[in-house]
Amino acid sequence: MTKTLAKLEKLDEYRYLIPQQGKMLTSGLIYASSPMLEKILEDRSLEQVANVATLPGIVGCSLAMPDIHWGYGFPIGGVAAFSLDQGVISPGGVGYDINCGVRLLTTGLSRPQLKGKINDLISRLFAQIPAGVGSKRKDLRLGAADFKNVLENGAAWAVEQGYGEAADLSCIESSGIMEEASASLVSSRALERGRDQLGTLGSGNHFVEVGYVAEIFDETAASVMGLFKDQVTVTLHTGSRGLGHQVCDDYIKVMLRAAEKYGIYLADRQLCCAPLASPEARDYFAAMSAAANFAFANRQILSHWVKESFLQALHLSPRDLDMNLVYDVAHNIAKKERHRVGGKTLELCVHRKGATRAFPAGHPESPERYASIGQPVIIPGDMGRYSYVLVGTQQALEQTFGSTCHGAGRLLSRHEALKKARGRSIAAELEAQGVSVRSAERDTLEEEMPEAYKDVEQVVQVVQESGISKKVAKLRPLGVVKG
Amino acid sequence: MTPYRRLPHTADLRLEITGSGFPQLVENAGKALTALLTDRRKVRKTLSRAIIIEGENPEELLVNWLNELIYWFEVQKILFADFNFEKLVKGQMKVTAHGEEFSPQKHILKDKPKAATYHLLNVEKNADRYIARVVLDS
Repeated sequence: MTKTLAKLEKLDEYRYLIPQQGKMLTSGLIYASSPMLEKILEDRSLEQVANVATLPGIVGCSLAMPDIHWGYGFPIGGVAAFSLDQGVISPGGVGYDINCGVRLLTTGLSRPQLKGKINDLISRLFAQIPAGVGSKRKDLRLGAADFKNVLENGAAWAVEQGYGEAADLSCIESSGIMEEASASLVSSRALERGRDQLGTLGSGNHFVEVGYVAEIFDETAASVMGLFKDQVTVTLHTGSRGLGHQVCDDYIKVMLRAAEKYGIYLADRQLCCAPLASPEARDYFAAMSAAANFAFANRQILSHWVKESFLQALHLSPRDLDMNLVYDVAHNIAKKERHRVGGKTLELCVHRKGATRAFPAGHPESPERYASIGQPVIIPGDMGRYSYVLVGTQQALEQTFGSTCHGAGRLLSRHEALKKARGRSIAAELEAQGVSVRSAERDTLEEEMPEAYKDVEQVVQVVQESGISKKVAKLRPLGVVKG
Repeated sequence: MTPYRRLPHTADLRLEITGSGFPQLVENAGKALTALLTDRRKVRKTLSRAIIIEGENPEELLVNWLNELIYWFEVQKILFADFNFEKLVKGQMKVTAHGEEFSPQKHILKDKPKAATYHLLNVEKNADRYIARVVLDS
């Protein structure tokens, strides 16, 4: 255990403090239960929380959500806010998969209506949604002007092209568009990587999951979201694909030079950053925003194909299917937001890397539809167990800049998972549990098997009990398409 | 020492690469990247590409090199089996890479690296050998 970790102070049942020390400009604050903390201490993620606290202009604590694990520079599950005039922006605080995020769709169907049909439905989804490394759509060809529009208009572009409805935009974080995006600040290499990938799922832990509402914890909130027990739902998880990765790589190079230029101490090279007021920071924010818009557009397009798959596989009319978007959230992003800190309203750049925005009821950035309950938060678990729907709270706004967890986090490396899966058929095991699976790549099911992940219930328990989010419903899987 | 091997990492891919000099380190890094993607023995050498990489130091050259190979696979759909380090002059490195077009049926994909990172990145010279450790996002 390092010196930093040895000085962890327990504030209450679910919060631990890394006191300010050494080069830290503030404290680190970790949301976790005691049993989870033991596991967290096995990697160096808390050191990363302490390292983030050394960055200039940080406001409040360097935060860690209960699904924290070791990342690049910032830990995954890390949240940090910086003042616009004194602070910095760091690509490491956003991640490579810019705007990797998740959306939840509901239907008018109940689980019994899928009996005997789930395999066909999953096969149809698998056919309609390109997944896996290097996957591309044949039916979507973008010229340079169109691609620029995607990067600068995000989900709005997709709606204009006929993917989904205009009403969907109000149910997407930031209405599906980061306004400061500039396609001209995205490199030609990034454009090349992204051009054929719009409308595809990607690989690894990206997925489309058909599930159902297994349990409702908050009837009022569920009703406002249009959720009911046994309702068939779809959860979609993907991001900005190769384009986002390239933007991150491009700007890490820029930020390494910028950190030197502006004399910024870096506890870790992957914390490379630039002052928010600098041209380097403005360029990165604009390129990051463009990549985020790509991801918003991507999820909007994929939702269209999810709907088409349902209509075709189940021979339903759109009216009978009644598919609707509950909400779409990012969990790898930097946002410019206003927050009350110490009695003052501050303009901040909030980095959420493997963390989800969770604004409360009545917040101006929460959709009007959810004004009475708070912004929906979707927390996917592994493909065998369950996922959760929550809402943001006032406590989150006050304690974590309106942030909460994003998922379960890996327990086993891909290599360890493959070893453990040897001699087993994970597909057969999942089928026996009533979960139909299809995967684009060999080994993906083994690498992504449920045992490879932590139990998301434990993560959600912490955010619930600590008050930074509130449970609304629990979803269970019926079928999954993996990249 | 083996030219390359996997190191443990929970969420991503971590490599240790060695070489008798920086040129061999770079060649072995290329082979390691291909070996992550697929069975390198099944990649024939039917085409060659001259690849130029820039970087101010060995770490930067290594990260940029691996990311370039990821680009060649992802966008150009080419896998490389072998490499010849040509030169490194004033921060510009030239390597000739030999391989073939990616065929999903023949080249069964294993790991899916998406980017080489600076996380825990280290290139050091011990006596007569270079040793590098790098984490790749996947």
